[in-house]
Amino acid sequence: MKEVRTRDGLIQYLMDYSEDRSTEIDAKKTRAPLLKTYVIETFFDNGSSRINSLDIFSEQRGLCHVDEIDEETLIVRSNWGEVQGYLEKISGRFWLYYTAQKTDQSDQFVSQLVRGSVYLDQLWLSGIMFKNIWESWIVPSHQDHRYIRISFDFQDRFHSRQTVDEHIESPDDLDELLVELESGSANLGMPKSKLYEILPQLQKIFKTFNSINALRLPAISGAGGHDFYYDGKVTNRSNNFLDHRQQILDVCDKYGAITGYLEETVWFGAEKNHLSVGGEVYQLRGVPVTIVFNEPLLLMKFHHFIDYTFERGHGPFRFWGNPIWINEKLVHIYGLDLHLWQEIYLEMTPSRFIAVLPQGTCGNTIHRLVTNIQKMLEPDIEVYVGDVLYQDIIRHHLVGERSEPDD
Amino acid sequence: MTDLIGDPLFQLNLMLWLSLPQPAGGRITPILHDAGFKAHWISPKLTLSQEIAEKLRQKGIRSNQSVAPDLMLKRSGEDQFVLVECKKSGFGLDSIKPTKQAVGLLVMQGDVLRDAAAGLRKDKWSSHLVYVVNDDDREPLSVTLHELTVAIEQAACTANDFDTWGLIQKDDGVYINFGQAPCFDNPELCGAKRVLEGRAQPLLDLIPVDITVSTPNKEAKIRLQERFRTSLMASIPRILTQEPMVIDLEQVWKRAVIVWDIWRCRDTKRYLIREAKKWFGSVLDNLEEKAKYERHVIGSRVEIAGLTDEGRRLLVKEIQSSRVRKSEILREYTQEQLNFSSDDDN
Repeated sequence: MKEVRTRDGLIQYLMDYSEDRSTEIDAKKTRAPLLKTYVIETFFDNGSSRINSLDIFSEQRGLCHVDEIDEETLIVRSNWGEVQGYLEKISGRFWLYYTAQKTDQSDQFVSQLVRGSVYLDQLWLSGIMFKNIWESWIVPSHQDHRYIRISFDFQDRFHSRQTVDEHIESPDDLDELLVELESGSANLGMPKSKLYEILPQLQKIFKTFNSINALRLPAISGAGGHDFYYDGKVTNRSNNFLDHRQQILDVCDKYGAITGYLEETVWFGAEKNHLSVGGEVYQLRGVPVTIVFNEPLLLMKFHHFIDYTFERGHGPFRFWGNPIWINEKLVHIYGLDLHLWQEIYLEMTPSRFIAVLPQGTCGNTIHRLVTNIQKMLEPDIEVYVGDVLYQDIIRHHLVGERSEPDD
Repeated sequence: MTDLIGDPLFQLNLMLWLSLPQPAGGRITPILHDAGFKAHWISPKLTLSQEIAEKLRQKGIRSNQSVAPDLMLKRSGEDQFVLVECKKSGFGLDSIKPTKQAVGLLVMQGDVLRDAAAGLRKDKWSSHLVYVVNDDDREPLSVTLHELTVAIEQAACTANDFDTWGLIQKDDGVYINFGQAPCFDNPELCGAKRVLEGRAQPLLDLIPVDITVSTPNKEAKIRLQERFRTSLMASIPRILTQEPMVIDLEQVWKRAVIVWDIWRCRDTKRYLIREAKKWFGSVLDNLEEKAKYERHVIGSRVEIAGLTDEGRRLLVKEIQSSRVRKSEILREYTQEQLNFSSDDDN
């Protein structure tokens, strides 16, 4: 990418870059990758609030070099000195990483950046979150003919053929297991009114369609749109960078509000209060998060998940802890979320997972858990915060005021 | 796990789970939450008014000067509090220690409780005392509490209404016998109600220690160990940029045991810190084979100085290893090792 030395210069450069790519797409002659923006969440718990953001992004020696343009704009260079992207702070919680690298390179870079720090995480847009963005924002805001693109992806990571073969006892079992084994991806691109008609039916019949991988938010300023992926990557498929940035700001604004609300609600702890008559008491607060599987997990899948995730410590969930088996269908884990190295306590059965987040654990952990479950364990779930549906919380936050579309 | 329903730590966590909002259809039925109650204070230390203490003393009724029920529930929308005390077994008038505690809890209607009603209609609040016991002990304990109530009301003041809730294990689940359940004002909640599906199985600990008991049992010890291990893990990356790196193992325990500051069993706390130091020392010993550094231990603080970037990376790798994850932190102990004294005030 071109080197710029001011924030205004960066904005102008990214506007020009987006227009050039759009012109190339129209001419069917793309010469450079599309602009991609990655949303990166910073989370500073108690005791780490004094940490400088520049230090956080710079601490991963060997990955990149980060310099300041101003307090809220950083330039990211490769080890060879090439400019590979820019970081812009958009709120106390979020930074945007703009890059024109090829997708596989930028995906790998962001993944390494986030994995290398206990203060960084990605944006996690679950199927439930996407569904609510679609229903609350896109459906009421755009005309019926507007082209919408949506992709689905479910990879059943915890169901190997070997474990299936070991447990088959009758032909009936085989049918059931083969249905469970359905994995794969699909893309749909069609007018809004058509998608509105068929999506609920698809999701009802094929539960894997609940695992939404990406959703295009149509540009408000003109043609094209912005492809939001489950992990916080946003590809600009419009000719307007300001539209791209504004839509990301809108999503981050609501996402941040939802995350803040979750933290306020779920953090379990005992807060010290002083009594007017003297003395101290500890007031309890917090509620559990419950993930209900509309169809319980097969027992072997449940065991495989626990064994793979905790006993062997493998991704994609990246939890760490010793399972305490109460019986073959009930396990407790006082564990650690290795994304941010924070505690999470779990009660797990094939029918539901219950998570207790101790005070200070980032609310993003809930979004990530839900996203990963829908993508790699079971797409058809309901999530409750206390006894309130997670989707209701999302919808409540999304239906606030938003700029009017002009298409 | 046959005596799980008689374990006060299980009882306390059950009361907490029953007061938390949860979706229907799980193994726990949050019956207290559904009745409008939520957990308010955990083990609040409540002090008797001078006036009542003096009246009781004059009539020869022995009472604790301060009491700390395991839990205080508050009913939302109404100024109603329920003091909850979990007990392994019932007791008679000849048991001095629990009787003194019961008197204190029965007369606890003073300014301290009123303080809890801050922001509500202070002239219109009520309090209620509940003992949670095995159902076999429910009725005998009610007789004891009734006799104490009569004595208190003749001597000093009106007493709290009391109730005893009896835990029962049946084939299809754990039930609570609420008796007439006067604190609910709901006839549908009278009698035995299922609160937990299936045989009694441990609950995910919300509170990991029985605040008044010195020695955690074997199962509670394992859960404590796991909580400490993850809290230590969570602390390490946050000190990696310090020089020297300082980790205070008591602070790690505080993070793992949210009621550490009000847990009155000092000897057990000392034991936990001691064992944690030994275990963390062995983790650092393993690191010593791969990286050079200086270690200083002052009280519960462990200082690690001179560790290079590579050494810090190795430390993070070591603490994630299965050797560390599987190692025992809290070894078996005896009462002599603990040298525990009864330092609770109940």
